[in-house]
Amino acid sequence: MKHLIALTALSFLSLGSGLASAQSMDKPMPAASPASAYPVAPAAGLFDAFGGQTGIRALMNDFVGRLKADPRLAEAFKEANSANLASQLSDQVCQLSGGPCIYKGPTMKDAHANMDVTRTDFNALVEVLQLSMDARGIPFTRQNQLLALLAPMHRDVVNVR
Amino acid sequence: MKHPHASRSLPKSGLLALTAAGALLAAAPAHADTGKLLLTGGVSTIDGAAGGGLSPWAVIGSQATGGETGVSAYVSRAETRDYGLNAYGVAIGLNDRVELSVGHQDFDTGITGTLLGLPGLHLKQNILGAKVRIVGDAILDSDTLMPQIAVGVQHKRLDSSGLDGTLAALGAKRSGTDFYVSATKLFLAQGILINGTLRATKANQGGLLGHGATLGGADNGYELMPELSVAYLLSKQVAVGFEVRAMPDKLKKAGAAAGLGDGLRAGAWKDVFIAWAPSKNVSLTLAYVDLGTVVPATTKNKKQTGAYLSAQFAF
Amino acid sequence: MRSPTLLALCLMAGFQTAQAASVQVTVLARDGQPLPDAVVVLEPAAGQAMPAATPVNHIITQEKMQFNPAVSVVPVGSRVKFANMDRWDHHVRGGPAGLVATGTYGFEFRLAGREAGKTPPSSELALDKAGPIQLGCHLHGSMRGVVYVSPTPWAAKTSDTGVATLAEVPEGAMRVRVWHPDQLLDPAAITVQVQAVTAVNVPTQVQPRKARRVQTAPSDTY
Repeated sequence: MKHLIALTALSFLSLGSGLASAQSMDKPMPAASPASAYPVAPAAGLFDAFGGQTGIRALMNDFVGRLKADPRLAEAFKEANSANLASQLSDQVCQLSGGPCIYKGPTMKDAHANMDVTRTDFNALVEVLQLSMDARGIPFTRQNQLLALLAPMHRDVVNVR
Repeated sequence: MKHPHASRSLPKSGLLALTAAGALLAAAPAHADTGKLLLTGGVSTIDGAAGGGLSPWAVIGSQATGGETGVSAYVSRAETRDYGLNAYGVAIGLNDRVELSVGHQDFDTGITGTLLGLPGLHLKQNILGAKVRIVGDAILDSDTLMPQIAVGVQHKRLDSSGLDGTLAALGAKRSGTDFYVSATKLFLAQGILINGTLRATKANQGGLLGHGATLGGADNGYELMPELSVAYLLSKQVAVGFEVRAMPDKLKKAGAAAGLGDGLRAGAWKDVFIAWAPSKNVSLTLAYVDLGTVVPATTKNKKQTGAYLSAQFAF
Repeated sequence: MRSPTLLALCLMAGFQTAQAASVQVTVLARDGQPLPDAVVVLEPAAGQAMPAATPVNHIITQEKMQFNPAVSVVPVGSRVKFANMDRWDHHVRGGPAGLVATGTYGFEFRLAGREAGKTPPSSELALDKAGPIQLGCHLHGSMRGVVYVSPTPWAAKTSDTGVATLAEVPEGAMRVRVWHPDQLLDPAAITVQVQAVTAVNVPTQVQPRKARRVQTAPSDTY
């Protein structure tokens, strides 16, 4: 029992210090914006870890290509304008990861209001994004730090529950 | 009248075959019909619910996500210094909201059975489980500290065996029900998953030695047992971690009253594990377990440490 | 299932003048439910004189990834202004359905995103030819709309309850034409004897695509 308490305390301490140090080194908590209705402070150095604006744009180009080719999502993205979508996603990810961009596109709620999006669709998109990041050699920790910025959007994007 | 108990433990070759099948499935193209991200359904606990190896988590089992139904099956084996445990079962996940599970455990009592005059004794238990997700999303709510919370029950029933008389004498019942609440959260940016479970139980050694005890004024009531799992994601497909599951110690007093000293005392179950999910259909878990002392009277007070291997198949 | 040529005439006593009647047309979808956003056009049955329609100035906004209204009915000679109420660019393009299907567009223009406090960027179009004009956005493939340019002064789109009311219709034989964006074939026109107050039910074979979101009236603030 004593061991259990000690272990619990240790793990929460290490987690807490990890979270605290992550937050103290970053920019202050961002405000809600069209880029994200559920802001999460980006991990330090995330924007640079993705290669800055050039790297993010290349990642999004690859990502949009994969979305259109993925058997689960191709139908949903069939009519999407690839260049425009990649450009909007780049602005969004650039801004959310701490870069100097300002995303001016639709909110996630508006962007998906005209289509049916299930949790399965959302998860499938996350997997495709993971594949894109793998292809560009983004380290696993950095991948999760980006996903942490995007994950809460499921509340606005998934509209079929 | 003692009946010779035919050994029905899973032969080693059987387990090898299962692992091979798992490896084959892993090599096959991963087009699961159901939608959870890898490893986010947890693995199968020894009791059949979805979670870690020892503790049920708030996640709903199988690979199915909202609006889907999924099934998962598992087969597990643990070998400690004096005992062996086989477990297998099936769980169904409904709409990522409800989980129903049925599990079977076959515990080889080894030396303890022999010393009790029941050589080759196997204790077999069936566990019916149900779990409901109440609130929260363990994986995607990275902007809040709010965990996913679920409540569950596990009804456990020990088959009749040569140990019936001993259990009755100790005042332990052969069936009982556990109630638990779990809170699970994946801290996505850090890649760490934490689960805390609080279980109301009377089960001795998870039910393998019955439920409760009355001999010698033992405490026969429900006790609240804390359980903790911590997992660190090494990659999309691999997680490592540890678990601790506190155990009630009801038989200790009863054992003393029966003249065994503290020969029936129990200790917390713990493990350190590595879980690998090569595809959405298969996951394998390997662990080093420590089940504390299990009937130390007949096992020379040894801590039951050993290996645990589990394969889970999800559809 | 009723044959498409069957119609129900319901005559009611009215107090209209002998020359100008009111016609209420109810359009039904394939499943018998009222069909909203269907275009109803009345034309003289045979060679009768037709007064010219008064052209209008019509506004279609691009708002939250939709054309608002999605379906517009205007008489020939009208002008349509496209105003971008969204904060991001739209690239409006369109043309007659047959042309668009071949990838050619009768018109296209880029509208910048609107800036707070400033007039929404806009562009105008003159509509001189009758028929349906499909609208789309090059940047947002799922944006769809239509402007039906009517050759006659008696044209309207059906409401949420599937009803279009046309006023000042001359009494006598008239043809009712119904058009819907989701129709697969052009249904034949139905001949109606217009009396003082006339109500017509028009069953169609149209099964409309399920609209995910209800449109609100176009907003002038954003």
